[in-house]
Amino acid sequence: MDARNETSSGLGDLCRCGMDEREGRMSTRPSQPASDKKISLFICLSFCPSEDLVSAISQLVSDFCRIGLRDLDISSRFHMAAHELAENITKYSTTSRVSLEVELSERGGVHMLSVRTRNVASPERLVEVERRLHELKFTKDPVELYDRMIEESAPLEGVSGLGLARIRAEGGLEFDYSINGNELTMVVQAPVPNPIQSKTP
Amino acid sequence: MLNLPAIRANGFALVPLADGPTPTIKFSGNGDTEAISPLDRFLKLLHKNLIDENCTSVAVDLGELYFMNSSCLKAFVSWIYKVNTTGRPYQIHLQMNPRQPWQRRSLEPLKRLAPAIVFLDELAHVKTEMPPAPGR
Repeated sequence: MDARNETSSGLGDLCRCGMDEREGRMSTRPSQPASDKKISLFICLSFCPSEDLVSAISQLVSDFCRIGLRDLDISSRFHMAAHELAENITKYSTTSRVSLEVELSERGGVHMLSVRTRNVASPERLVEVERRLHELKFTKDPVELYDRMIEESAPLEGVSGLGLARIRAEGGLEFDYSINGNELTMVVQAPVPNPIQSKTP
Repeated sequence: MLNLPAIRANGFALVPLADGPTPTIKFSGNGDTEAISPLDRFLKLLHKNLIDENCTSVAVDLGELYFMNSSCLKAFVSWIYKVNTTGRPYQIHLQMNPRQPWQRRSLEPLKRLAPAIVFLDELAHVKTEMPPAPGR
């Protein structure tokens, strides 16, 4: 087992839950918010990794954005992000349980929508993915990084590896991650319009 | 003209269109996991057809494409790379739906990959609403 401590300190109060594999269930609750953070919606989907579920899950996130926020642009960005994240955890999980959470919160008048995934992966996979995630998180130019990854992958058959980079470059979403033992947590988020105001025609 | 079989599967379709002066294929539905392998094979066959027929351009109608995952995008990346590195490249016109905001964001990197051969065109007459999520 990989005994690394949690890496990446930027998650802050975004994620505070984990999987109990012995009992095969998620012990999940919304993050422990700072006192001024208000969570108005929290959805946690805990499921057995299956390609058949990926589209349904991303559609759920998209529908929530479209109906709850009435913003087609945000909806399409989060649809893409949820799809790529769900595919990623489905592909690389080594256990029968992964999770995807959607959280709408408000702090200081700023409303944030976030999608967070958790999965357990092999130590070898985590070493490889951490290198990529670190580069993705800290790049100053996500579009340049994505273009470079596209160029590098172009001659290669059957390899994509573009999904996570796409979330930042195309989606324009903030990205963070942490690795705690063998559990990988990834978070994407963006400010969104006030859900109450957005219901006003 | 194109000698390609149409593919109509659960959730997506790849159909050669016979009308018009430019060879055109229509990719519709959802480009997700189910579509990856068929799309990859289809684009390879399309490339061979276009080379054999000495075509100078091809259009891809994406007006009713509602999502494309990174693996389907990668199939386009590989195709564009192949076209761009053959001795006699042809133009690829990706016809976007202006009412699907993700399309421009997703397709602009393909244009940047090979700006001399990839063109992004906006379709004039397109549907607005997304269909229900495909059943599985």
